[in-house]
Amino acid sequence: MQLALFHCCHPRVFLKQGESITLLFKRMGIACVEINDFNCCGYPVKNINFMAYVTASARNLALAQRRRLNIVTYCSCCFGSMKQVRHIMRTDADVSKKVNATLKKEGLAYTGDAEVKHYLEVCHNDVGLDVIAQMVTKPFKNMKVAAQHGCHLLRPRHSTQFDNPSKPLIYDQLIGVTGAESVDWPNKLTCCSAPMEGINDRISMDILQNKIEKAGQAGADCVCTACANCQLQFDKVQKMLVTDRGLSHPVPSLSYIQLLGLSFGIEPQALYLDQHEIETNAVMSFQ
Amino acid sequence: MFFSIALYASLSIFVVGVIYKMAGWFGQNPDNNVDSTRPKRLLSTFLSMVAVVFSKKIFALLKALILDVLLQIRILRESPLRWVAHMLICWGFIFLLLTHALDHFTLKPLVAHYYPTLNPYLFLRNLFGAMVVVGILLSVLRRFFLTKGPRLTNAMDTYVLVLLAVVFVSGILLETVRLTSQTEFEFMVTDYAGLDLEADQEEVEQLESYWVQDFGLVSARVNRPFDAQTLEAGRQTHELFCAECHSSYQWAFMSYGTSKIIGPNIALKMDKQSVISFLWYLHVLSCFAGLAYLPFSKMFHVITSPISLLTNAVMGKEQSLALNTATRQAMELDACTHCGACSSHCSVGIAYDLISNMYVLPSEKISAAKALFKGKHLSRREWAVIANGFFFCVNCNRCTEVCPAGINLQDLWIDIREILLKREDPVYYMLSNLSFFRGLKRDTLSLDDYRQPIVRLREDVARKYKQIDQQTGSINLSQLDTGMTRRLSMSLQGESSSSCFTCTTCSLVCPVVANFKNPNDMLGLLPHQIVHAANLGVLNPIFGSNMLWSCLGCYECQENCPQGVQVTDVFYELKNIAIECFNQNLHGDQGDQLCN
Repeated sequence: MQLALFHCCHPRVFLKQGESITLLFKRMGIACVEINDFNCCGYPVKNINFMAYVTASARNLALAQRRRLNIVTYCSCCFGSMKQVRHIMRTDADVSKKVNATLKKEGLAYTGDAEVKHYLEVCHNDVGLDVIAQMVTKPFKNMKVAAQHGCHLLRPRHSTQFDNPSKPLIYDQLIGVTGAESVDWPNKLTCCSAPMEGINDRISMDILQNKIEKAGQAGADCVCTACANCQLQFDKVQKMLVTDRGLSHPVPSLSYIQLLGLSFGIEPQALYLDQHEIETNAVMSFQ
Repeated sequence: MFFSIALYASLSIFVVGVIYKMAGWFGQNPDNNVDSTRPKRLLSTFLSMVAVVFSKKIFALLKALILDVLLQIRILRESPLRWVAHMLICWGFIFLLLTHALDHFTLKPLVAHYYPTLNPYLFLRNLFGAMVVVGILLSVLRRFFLTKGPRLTNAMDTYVLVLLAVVFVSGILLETVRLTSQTEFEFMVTDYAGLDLEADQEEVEQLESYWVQDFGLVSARVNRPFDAQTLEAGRQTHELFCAECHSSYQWAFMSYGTSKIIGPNIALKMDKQSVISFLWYLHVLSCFAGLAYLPFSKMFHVITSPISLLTNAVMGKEQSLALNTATRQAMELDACTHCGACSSHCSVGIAYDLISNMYVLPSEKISAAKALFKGKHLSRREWAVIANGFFFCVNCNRCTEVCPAGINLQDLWIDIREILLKREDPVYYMLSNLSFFRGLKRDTLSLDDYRQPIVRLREDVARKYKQIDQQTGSINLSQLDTGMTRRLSMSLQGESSSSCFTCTTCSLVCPVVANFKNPNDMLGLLPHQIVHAANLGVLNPIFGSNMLWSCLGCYECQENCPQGVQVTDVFYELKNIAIECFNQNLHGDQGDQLCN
């Protein structure tokens, strides 16, 4: 199975999730194809110009469609954004016509074929829990994990179509396969508030701090993110909470790619865990 | 005499231009953050260069010299076609410069029996010329016909291509006319072979026949076909007088080929001293014009791009001195060739014509950066457009990765953005997720420098777009704007807002509202009030409300709305309209009535 790997712009600079996911997918028999012409999913400019956002996402879909590939993302924002645009392009004839007129200048068109998948979907639906379970060689024991989906993996449901947005199960099962336990925590499905970072840092830090405290109270040993933006928030901004607000009990965070990679017995350095600002050694001690 | 004067004049302009440009690198300081004089910066650069030469970094430097400068691997990675074109032009030009333009200083002193009309020089000159011509044709093809993604062509791109074309077309035509010229032949025969055109008529005609046959000469005196005897006699005369300095012109395949294309009739017509002189002046003057223009055009990259590639191979932002970074960035602006590789890979480049701002494109940001570094005077409106363009960037680093000149574009944008944010007008594009990167990197700025632009922006929005009448607590319905409701209902998501019956579910599930004990005071209008106000067409309170600009876009409200109102998407639409209005009001445009 081949999938076009979509790189989120922010982690291109800060994290190396793309490299890790390629490594993991290779083990699961999935080849990641790099399409160098991909552009930003458009999510960051949604506030400024909705059409610019739609056009940017549609261009990526058109590029994938031309290569007859589906897209896989490791960022819930990229996922939700492109899924929403896919929905718009399939249902709104006016917008679709306008966008395709712009794409035509490059000889591109999107007719609704290429699909967008989040890597959790690929793991759950295409690879399968039982296959992954067989690959887990170094399972976690007695570790409680706070799952952080990322808003746009779940909402709005009519376009994301990932899981039940008020009671999702897929992610918990995937965490369960690694031997860890996905705990219930009060703010599990809420926003990490990354969108306010840089615009209103007070809100960004308030909401994040509340989430971290709630996760800690629920007994979580770490937060596991499925979205690159959440991961940046739970690592870099949590570090700011420690230095600026004296957050006393930081909770280590890692992406599901890293959690799964560790359970496969991959070295932490190969998953770039040493680059985190909040120490992650505690996670490895549960193996 | 003319040649010398023109040469020294253009050479002087070139030298003065290069010195002027380089002096600029050590003088420009747009941020006023580098407290240093020009000599100090020059000294600092010199010391750092010496330090690099005597450190392990010398290997990185050598690697960059071979791979990036000589083999131009970065261009190959960008596009094989472009690489072929650039290598042909670059190396063809260098060899042509050494073996043709500067032959008095290179080949003449080195080679005992040097004549430009002998092989291998004759052939090589044509080969190198052909390399450049093919390269230029490929470049034109690529720039004007095979463009991929957004790429703008400015006047200088065209000037440079035209100037190069004039140099090469005139050079090839000059050689063509000379090799076909009977006048030139007669002159050579009289002067060098010592034959008299009348007294030695038979010998001259035999030689002429041989030259027509084998050297591409066009003659009005002798006509094909020639018998073998005449040709043999001609060959012997040739061996005696000419062969020492003339290889067969068939080796000059560019001009020989051209002479066959234009045919003998046109060649005869062009055989006039005036034509030869004209082409010679055109060729020489265009070369000198190119030399004089070089430091002021994008062709200056032949000097600056290698410098940029080499410095960036050994310089990183963190470990370098601020004054050296400032010098490097000023130099990098001169290394840009406006090739457009950055723009065709730009992650948000596709949006540039949708938001009518060419400064979204990295290749165009460079021209704005030059204006900034030179302290050029631009109107507030122009600066506002530029600032928004610079902010419309997701910091993905792709432009830096693909730049064939190795310019660290990303660092340049980040630094310039901060300079622009210090100007008087707020940058409204900051009110988006594009600010995420700046927020994450806030520790690279002083607290004041980081916070001040955000505070100023929010104050500006709150001041201009008064919310509710503070004294009476009521909304002034005379502000009612039906244009707004009309515009909202034009889109799928906007239309859904009319189903709202203010049940307040959206406000109850909003994580931002839940974050405050006193949300009304902190946020102005709550989500359900914004939807209601939008339905009424009351704009100012919405645009000025903290709630609109604190919306996370998390879709909780939309997911939970019992009426199917696409609350989050309606918010996006309101934010789009607001930011457009903010910019229009700032620009002093005659904004549509929505923005009053």
